[in-house]
Amino acid sequence: MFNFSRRARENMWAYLFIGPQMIGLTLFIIGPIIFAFAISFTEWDIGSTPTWLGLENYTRQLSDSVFWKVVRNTSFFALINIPLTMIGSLIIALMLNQNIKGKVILRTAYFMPVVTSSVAVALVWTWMYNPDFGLINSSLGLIGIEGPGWLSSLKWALPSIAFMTIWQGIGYNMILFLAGLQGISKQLYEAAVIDGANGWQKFWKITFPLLSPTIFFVLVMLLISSFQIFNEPYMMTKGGPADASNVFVLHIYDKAFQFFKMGEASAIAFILFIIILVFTLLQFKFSKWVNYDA
Amino acid sequence: MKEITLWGALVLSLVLLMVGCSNDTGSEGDSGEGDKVELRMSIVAGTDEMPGWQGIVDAFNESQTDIEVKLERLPGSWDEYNQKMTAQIASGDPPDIGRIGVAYMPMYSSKGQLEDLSPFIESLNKDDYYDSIFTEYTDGNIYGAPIGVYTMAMYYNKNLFDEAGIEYPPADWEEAWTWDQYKEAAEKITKGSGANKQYGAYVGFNPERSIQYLWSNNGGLINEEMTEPIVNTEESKEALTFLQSLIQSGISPTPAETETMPVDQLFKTGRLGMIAEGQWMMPSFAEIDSFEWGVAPIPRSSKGEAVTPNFIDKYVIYKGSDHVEEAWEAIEFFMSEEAENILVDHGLGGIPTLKSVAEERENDMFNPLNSEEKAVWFQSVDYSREVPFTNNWQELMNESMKKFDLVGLDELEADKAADELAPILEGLLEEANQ
Amino acid sequence: MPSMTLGRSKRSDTQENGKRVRQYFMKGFIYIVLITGALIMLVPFIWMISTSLKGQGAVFEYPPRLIPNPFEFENYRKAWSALPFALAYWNSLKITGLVTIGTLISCSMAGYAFAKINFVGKNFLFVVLLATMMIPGQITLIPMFMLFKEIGWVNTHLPLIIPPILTNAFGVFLLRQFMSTFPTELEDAARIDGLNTWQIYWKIVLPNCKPALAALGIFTFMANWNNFLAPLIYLNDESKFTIPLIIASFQGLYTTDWTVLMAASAISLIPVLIIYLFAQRYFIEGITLSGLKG
Repeated sequence: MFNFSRRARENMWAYLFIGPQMIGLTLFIIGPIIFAFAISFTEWDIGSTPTWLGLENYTRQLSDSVFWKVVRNTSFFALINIPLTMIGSLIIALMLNQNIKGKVILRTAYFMPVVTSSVAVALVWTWMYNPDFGLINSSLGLIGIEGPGWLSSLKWALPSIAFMTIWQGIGYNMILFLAGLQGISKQLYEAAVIDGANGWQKFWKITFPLLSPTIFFVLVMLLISSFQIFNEPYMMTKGGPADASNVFVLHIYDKAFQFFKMGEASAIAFILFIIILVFTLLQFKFSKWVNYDA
Repeated sequence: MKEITLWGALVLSLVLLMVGCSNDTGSEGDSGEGDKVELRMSIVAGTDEMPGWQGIVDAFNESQTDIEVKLERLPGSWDEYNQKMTAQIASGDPPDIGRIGVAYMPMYSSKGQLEDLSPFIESLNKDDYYDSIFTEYTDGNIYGAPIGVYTMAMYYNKNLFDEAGIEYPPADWEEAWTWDQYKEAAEKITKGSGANKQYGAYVGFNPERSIQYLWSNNGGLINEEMTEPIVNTEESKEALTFLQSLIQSGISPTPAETETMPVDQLFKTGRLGMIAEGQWMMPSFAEIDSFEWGVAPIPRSSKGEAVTPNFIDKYVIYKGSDHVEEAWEAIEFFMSEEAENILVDHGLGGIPTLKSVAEERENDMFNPLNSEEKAVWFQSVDYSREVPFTNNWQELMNESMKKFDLVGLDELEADKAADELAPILEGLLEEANQ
Repeated sequence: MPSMTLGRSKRSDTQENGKRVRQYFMKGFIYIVLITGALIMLVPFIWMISTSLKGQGAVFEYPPRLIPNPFEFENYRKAWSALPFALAYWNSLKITGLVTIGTLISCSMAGYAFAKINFVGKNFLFVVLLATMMIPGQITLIPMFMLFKEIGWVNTHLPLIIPPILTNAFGVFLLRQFMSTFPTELEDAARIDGLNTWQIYWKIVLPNCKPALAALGIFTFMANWNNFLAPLIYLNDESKFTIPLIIASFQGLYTTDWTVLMAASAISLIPVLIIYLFAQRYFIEGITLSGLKG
């Protein structure tokens, strides 16, 4: 009897706690998503009334070379972006979490790319990537390497955008790791030192397990954001040259608001959704390594 | 406890502010001030353009008592403008009046999103206006009222010409330089390397900025009837090959180089000899004080005439407006001498559509050019052609640029690119004409 | 690089000394890495500030001049006096402030429920929550606009305030991860003391989540402060504009006034930096959970 009422009470509390978010999501997100899902089975140029197409918007993609190019590009981008951003931001956060001088200034410096005007960021990076006198090729020239045309190269446009995204992502995710690191008590490390643990052991025995919920969070969010990369290619290359840096969301944007093929844009968006969902569920399935016990 | 009161205060202030917000909106939501008809006019404009547009709207509002036009200004680019208009149209909430870039007109017209203005335009005295500015859509209706005529010409850096010992190009479109003369001059100006390299000329492959070279050689991207691609004809290929040769020989910056340095900046910093650009660059180039510059006709092929595309942006009335008559009254005013004079005052809109205004205000337009060079702009209208914009022009451009990017980067020969592009354009034209 | 420090440490005589030298070099190494990285991070920011103080013609000089000559403070005056800059600043502050406070409350509530309460449908709802992040906004833009038109929110600040507060799956997930590590024994102890679920959340869990709340606060503030597309789409009256719209106005259809654009961006950065500096205090020292053992 007591048990039952306690469970009921718990349920009530829980629904109360998640209520605002759930109501908001239902009204503002899920409603529009259902609308878009319905549209994905139609041809709709936004002006006139939609006409029913069935699955054609989906099946058409299978034979569309641009679609497959976009799938390849986006996966490639994710494959570079996820591990490098993860490792880079974790290392920086660990370094900045130590007892060093000028911590605040250094941390602020690493956060600056996140807040600097994106127009300035894009412009400065195109400068750095300039084939003739950019910072990168000038540096490469010093050690006798002739750098490529980066943003205008069929081969290097996408990696160039990935590097820039990583550069920005490090500061962003560093904040999350720093927040996570504050939850690890110092006594743990002190005890480990007494036991004679070295830095490497301390990391794997204490830091990694206790930080694992944050690491898992960053991993999931990096996956979602990598597959939805849009701003950087939109500002730097618009997907060019010749689709070399075209990615999923850019493709969806073009279809929706450049060509006004809303039905097809929606269909591609839902294919993307399925891809991300599957990977995310896999991440959750293989998340035994995440340690939620303090 | 302390913490709770703090949070409580925050929540309370949140609620209060929220109430404040909704009050704001309530008072402005239904502004039925008297019997005035309120019209919404939506344009895309940066801060530099706003005084001119606000000027004509204010003048209209003062000119009569029944109608009030409210200017809704959108910062950003045409991309964002189209995005916002689409959202408003889809939700049945379009503005009454708009300004639409000519390239997007067929897209809006083909979807039935604009009012047919032909009955209204019939009532205008067409003799007062320049010829052929009232363009019909393929269905025979006129969906937009012309704002002004923009054309392109060749800006050139006189100091660089002097240094290289080259005579200035003639100002008469009839005597425009040929490509050979143009290339020769450009070669002489080109010098240096790396970050401070000086380029003779700039050519890009964006058809909206380079179509005149194809036309001059009797080619083009698609035919005027918009039924077939003509980019793969010998004439077009010859023109494209010429453009590519300018990049290959280092006379023109490559696409990679203009990524770092926008071409208008390249010209403004005195590192570019010649550039074909539109009148819209005049205000920006007028700020140049480190060298002298001039304007000349765009170089022509030896097989044809000098030519420039024209761009005539339009005033439109969106379908769904409850006040079509009143909206037309406003547009009619915007096409009047008074309004066109205001636009000229602010250097907006291109060459006025009214002959009288264009002639009277000659001295006030296109400064700091001398009168001979001003004539280049006025004469350009007669040498201008309309770009055959299709209702899926954006897609056409997108596909074209995918090929032309490769030509600019020297990854693909120009004639091969044209051959590859033609069937793609054919498919898109078929789609457009359905 | 690490092998170099190792090599040097071997040279020292006693083990004691070696350890100290090694630590010394390790620290030096960390400094070098951090400072080099920080400088790379700061390049666009420095360019932005430097450009904002330059004259029109000096923007694209090569080699770029770091210190403008002469200083043009005029750009800042121009930016600030471009109407309605001050009003837009206030609008942005109001919107962003409300969203940040609201988000911290609504996300921490939902995060707590998902982390610590067992309720019916928990896993399903959590997956739904995550799934809402996987649909690109491009295809929900039109239906969302239709919705706001329907309920009369177009041309008000409400679509910029309410949905961001109530649809932040990122925030819920983030706080869920942090709260999951909160020791259940502490909660049980509190329950025995007679605290109900709300009190436990409010008095025990929240105060211990300050680093995570600080991180979410920074991100929320920044994202909404810089939000461009939503205000562009939803606002018609200039008097309601937010800062990003005013900044975008300095980019004309054909040419861009880089110096004023950068000055405006620099002015716009100030509140974000203040919030960051305020919030990052919570990353300096780990919070020690009172009564907790490592």
